[in-house]
Amino acid sequence: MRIDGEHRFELPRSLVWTHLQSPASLRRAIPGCTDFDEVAPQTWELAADVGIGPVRGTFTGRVELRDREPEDRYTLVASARGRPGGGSGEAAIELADDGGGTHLRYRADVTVRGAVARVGSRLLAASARTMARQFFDAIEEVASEATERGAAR
Amino acid sequence: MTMQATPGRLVGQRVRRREDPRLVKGRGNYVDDMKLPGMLHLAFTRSDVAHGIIRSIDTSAAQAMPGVELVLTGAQLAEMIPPMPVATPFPAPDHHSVTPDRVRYVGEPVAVVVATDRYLAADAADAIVVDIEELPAVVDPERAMSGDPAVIHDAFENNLAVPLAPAGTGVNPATLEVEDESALNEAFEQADVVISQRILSQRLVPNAMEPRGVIARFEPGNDELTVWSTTQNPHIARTLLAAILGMGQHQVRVIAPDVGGGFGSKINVYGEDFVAAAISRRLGLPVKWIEDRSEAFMTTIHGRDVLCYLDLAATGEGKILAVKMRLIADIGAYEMVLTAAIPTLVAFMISGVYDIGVVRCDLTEVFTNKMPTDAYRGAGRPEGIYFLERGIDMLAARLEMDPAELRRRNFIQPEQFPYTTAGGMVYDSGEYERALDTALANAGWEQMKADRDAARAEGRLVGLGLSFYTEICGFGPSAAMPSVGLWEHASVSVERDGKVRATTGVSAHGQGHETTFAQMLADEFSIPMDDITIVHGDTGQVRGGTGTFGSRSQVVGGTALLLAASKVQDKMRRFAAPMLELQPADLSFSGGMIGPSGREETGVAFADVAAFAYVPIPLPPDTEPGLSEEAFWEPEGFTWPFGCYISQVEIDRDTGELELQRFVGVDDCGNVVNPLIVAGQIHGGIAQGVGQAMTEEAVYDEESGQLVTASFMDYAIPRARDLPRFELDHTVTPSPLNPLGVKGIGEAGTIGSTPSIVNAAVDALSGFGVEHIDMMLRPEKLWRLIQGGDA
Repeated sequence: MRIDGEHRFELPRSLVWTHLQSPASLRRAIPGCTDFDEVAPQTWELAADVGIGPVRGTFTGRVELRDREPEDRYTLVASARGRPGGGSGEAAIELADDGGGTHLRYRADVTVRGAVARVGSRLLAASARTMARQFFDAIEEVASEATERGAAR
Repeated sequence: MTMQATPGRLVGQRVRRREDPRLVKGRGNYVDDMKLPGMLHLAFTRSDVAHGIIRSIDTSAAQAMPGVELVLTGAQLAEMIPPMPVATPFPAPDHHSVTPDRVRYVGEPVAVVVATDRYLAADAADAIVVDIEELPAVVDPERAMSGDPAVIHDAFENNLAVPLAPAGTGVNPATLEVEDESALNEAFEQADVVISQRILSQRLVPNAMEPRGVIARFEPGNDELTVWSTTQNPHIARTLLAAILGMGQHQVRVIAPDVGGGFGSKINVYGEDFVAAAISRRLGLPVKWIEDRSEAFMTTIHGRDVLCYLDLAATGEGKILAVKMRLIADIGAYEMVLTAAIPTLVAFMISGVYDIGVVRCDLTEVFTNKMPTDAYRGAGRPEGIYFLERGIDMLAARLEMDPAELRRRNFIQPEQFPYTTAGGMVYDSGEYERALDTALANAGWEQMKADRDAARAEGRLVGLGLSFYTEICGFGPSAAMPSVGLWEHASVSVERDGKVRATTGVSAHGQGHETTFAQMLADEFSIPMDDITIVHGDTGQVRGGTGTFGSRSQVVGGTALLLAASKVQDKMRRFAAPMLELQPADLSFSGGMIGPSGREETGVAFADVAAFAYVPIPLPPDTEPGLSEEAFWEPEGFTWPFGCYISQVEIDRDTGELELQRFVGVDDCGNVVNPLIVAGQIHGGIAQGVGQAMTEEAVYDEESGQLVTASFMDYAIPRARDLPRFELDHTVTPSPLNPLGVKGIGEAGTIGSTPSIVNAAVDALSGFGVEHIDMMLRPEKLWRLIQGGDA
């Protein structure tokens, strides 16, 4: 399934990039994340409580950031499995200056299986966009807090 | 013998179903209601990918969970149970109850958990970690036929399960070579009009109200296995269970208690049944498995999924010269008991009710990464009639002819029966024009057309659809299914108090045998229905049987019952004769008495004869004590009921939503034992046919092979508000092939309704140049046609 979307940050591109690549920020921003451990460079294993429509559960998975071209683009490769099924996907993420802020665009290809596919697939795109928005909002919040702390110092 | 169904006291009456108070008050007894001491529960771990090789299965976490008694993988089970049986003459790949090495559809079982509680078992099944190396999946049968991107069974090149089926037309059954086509080619060359259309009868989920379930209890003390099952045919289940478990049929008893619908999906014995039996035998304890709704969507057989390339040749006056169907049946990943046989029934329907000189049908059956298909209400006949009746309506549109008139010009005439079709089917009886005229009159056809045209002039999208079906019923002679046999068995015992206990080998799961068969016996013996018990669904009590499917219960089971009753009547006459000092041949049954014909009231009471039969002092010569007889019966040919359905639909121009506004039906199933039950069968059948036309479609994702319509959120069965009041009537053309003159009615509504509705929808959109619409008729598809795009 193809899921595309975009997001605007009220922050400069370099700052957005830094937090999108920072394990500490990712851990805070990934919705429902309960565990987040680095297992290789730019690669983490994680656990998260996620709900897609009526399908809810704890998923364990792996996230890797690849093809990084700092402040311009990177690819996020993820897979997850849990009792309600699982899935995997790749998202191409691009950043661009947008006035004083940053414009982010993502194009993801996702495959799912198990109850997520059987019951949740009709709701998958909407759920994924919601989770993406939560994630980017959280990144923005984390980045803003960090900037404020830096400014206060 | 009194071999006639009319004019009895109860036969022909709208007698209410005796089983309903029990069923609607929650006093029924279904498999899941039963609890046996020490009973354990099964849950299956299933593949969540469509195609792949099992690399490893880690059961350690499941085995450590509380209440878990046993965990077995497919590889371990394959050492206990051989591959599952197939009852068709075609080569079939090994199909294990639980796959040992490779998964081929989403939902295929890979391991089983045995636990003290259903929920513990389910949790443990979830905790089993299956590592599968994914292979590409293929769900489009035409793509699968290229062998790319997947070959599902190594021994079946290009996924061809049955490359070319000898389906009765055009293919030599011995050599499988195509026979002379010159007559066919000639017909198409002579034709003024040729209709060609690709038509799909889409995949459906049967959705019986009660999912599948099984309890198996092996008793180590006497080596006997009892299986309570949601089966439609306990005797076939007994045969297959005994064979697979390596037991004798005398050691296996199968009981079908109350069963909540089947529609063909409960003919099969499934892997879960064999696993339950094998595990009970291994543990010496009873085990239970009950399917959940999600499993029912994924892993109970699906129906239909047959694609037809139709070519129809006709003259300018509308005389059909030839019909050609090239069929591609998508049978899913494996063959179940009747999987490969069902699409061959499509070919048998190719002539419909029409006198067609040349017919030709090629059938190819293809494996894909989906749940196997098998019999679903109508089983092959809905597909065949739908393809043909769509073609006839396309011809009517092309010729600008009234679709009723076009059909009338091609009907087989009453004097042509018994009629042999160009494909070799022998029709028993029919009077099609009478049914058509009754339907047209009841509908007010001419007025309907005028009203439609008036509505169109206002810009409303109103359409009329007509269909005319026949179907193969009353299965049948055993030659039609040599692997099983298609006779039926019945026994009738009059107990010493004059009460009657009868058994039948046909196993009701919604058909009302306890009522119709009691009506018949009440008439034969002239005693109250309350004095009669009909026993079915237990191989321990019912000595023989085949089962309820193919609209055969009344035809085959009913006739066997009548024959057994006749034998008991003969014997009662022999006991009554010395009591009355008359000859047996002079005696009849009436008003609870047995006496001289016409003056039965001067005879002896039915119950007194029964009492005498069990204490016969003196015993009449050449007569055994007691009153218990049995009969086997097998018909010499199929019965062919028929009927005409007329639909009126309106499509909302802005939303594409289709409303079924009127539905007029005339069915002819020969003599009718209980009009209320016949109407019920037709109502349910129409509802399921409406479902296929308007709301139902099982969809697998093209790339991943995931079933994406796996719940009632995404798979819509019709609701009451989708259905208009059905305006039903019937004609009676008795079958000459059984003494009851009955033909069968269980599947008719499903077969005739679907083409009638689609024909109406196409008619409604004819102004947009629409000639055909593939089902189901969802609003989005219709809206796009209205907007001028492709469906």
